[in-house]
Amino acid sequence: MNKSIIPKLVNLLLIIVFISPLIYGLYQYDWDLNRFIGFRGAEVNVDLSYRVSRVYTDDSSVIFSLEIRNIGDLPINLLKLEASLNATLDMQVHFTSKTEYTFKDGYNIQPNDSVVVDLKFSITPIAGAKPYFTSIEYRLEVNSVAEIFDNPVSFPSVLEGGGPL
Amino acid sequence: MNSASNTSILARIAYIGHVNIFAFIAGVVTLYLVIQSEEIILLVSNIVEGDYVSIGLGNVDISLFGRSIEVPILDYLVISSKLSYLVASISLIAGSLVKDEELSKGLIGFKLPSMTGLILAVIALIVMYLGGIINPINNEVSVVFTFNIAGQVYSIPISYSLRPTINTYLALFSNLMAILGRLAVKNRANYIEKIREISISMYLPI
Repeated sequence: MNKSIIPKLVNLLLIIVFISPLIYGLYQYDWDLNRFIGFRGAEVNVDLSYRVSRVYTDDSSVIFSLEIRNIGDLPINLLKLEASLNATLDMQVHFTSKTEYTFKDGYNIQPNDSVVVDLKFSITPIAGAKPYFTSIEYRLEVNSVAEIFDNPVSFPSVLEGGGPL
Repeated sequence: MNSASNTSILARIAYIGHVNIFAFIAGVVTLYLVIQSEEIILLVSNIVEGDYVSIGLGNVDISLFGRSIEVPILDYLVISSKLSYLVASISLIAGSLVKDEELSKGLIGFKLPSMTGLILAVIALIVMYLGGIINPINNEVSVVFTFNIAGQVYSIPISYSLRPTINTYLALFSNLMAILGRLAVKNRANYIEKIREISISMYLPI
């Protein structure tokens, strides 16, 4: 046998052993390139859930105790909570109000952890003569300004509800 | 010092008898890496504790945000690389031991591009796939992940540090040895060819 053929055969073998497993793998995935090169594993979720745990009033404001829960898989550093309220008190007094809650130095909320924040909405100018209210219907728009691994993100949501105060 | 004398110096260092020591070492180290199959490249997340990407000739492990991730193509690339390295290492060892200059040159000569190419192909594929950018100055790889949060898509870069293992150095060392082995066999073959030409010309009738 010609000696120069041996290196050529080895080279060919090298190419074959490199390409064959890839072709076989592609065949195993029914030639679906997207599946073949795609990630396989549980999806990583990033999300916050909001729940109004309590609504009450004091002399000049309506206070929403808002529970924020990290229902995702990554820690989230909460910086600020912006909220806008559209409410009706005692089915008569309509008002809108905005407020902000700033987490001093941020609040790092781990997956499955929660934090309760009191959002205070001023009602003094609207409330007028009536000293207190007994019920509320509301539409609360909240937006958490946060960071994930130092990258800014925001989590907007709308909560609607009502009931006795 | 001219190139001819350089040639002979390299050839003299590289050869003990007819054995190309550099190529032989390259082959043995490569074979060791194949048999051992431990990680060659390790990327450790700078942000998420415990996250890593381990690339070896045995398998590829990806731990992302605390969970194990599989990428089918990487599993098959590992098999491809392992078999290629096996063939390359056997070829290097055989080429370094064989007495025939022409055959030795053929077996050793083309192995380096294949080996280097394989290493680069595996790294490039993984990095390109993950959409990462390598910063060679601080050994960092930045990988951008996209998340859908409340209907908005966010791109979050996460940096990984390249942690060389003993196998990283062994892989580099085997490549260096293969380069030297290749140069030596090439130069020695040229040197012998020259001597042959001189000998023939001496015996040619005038």
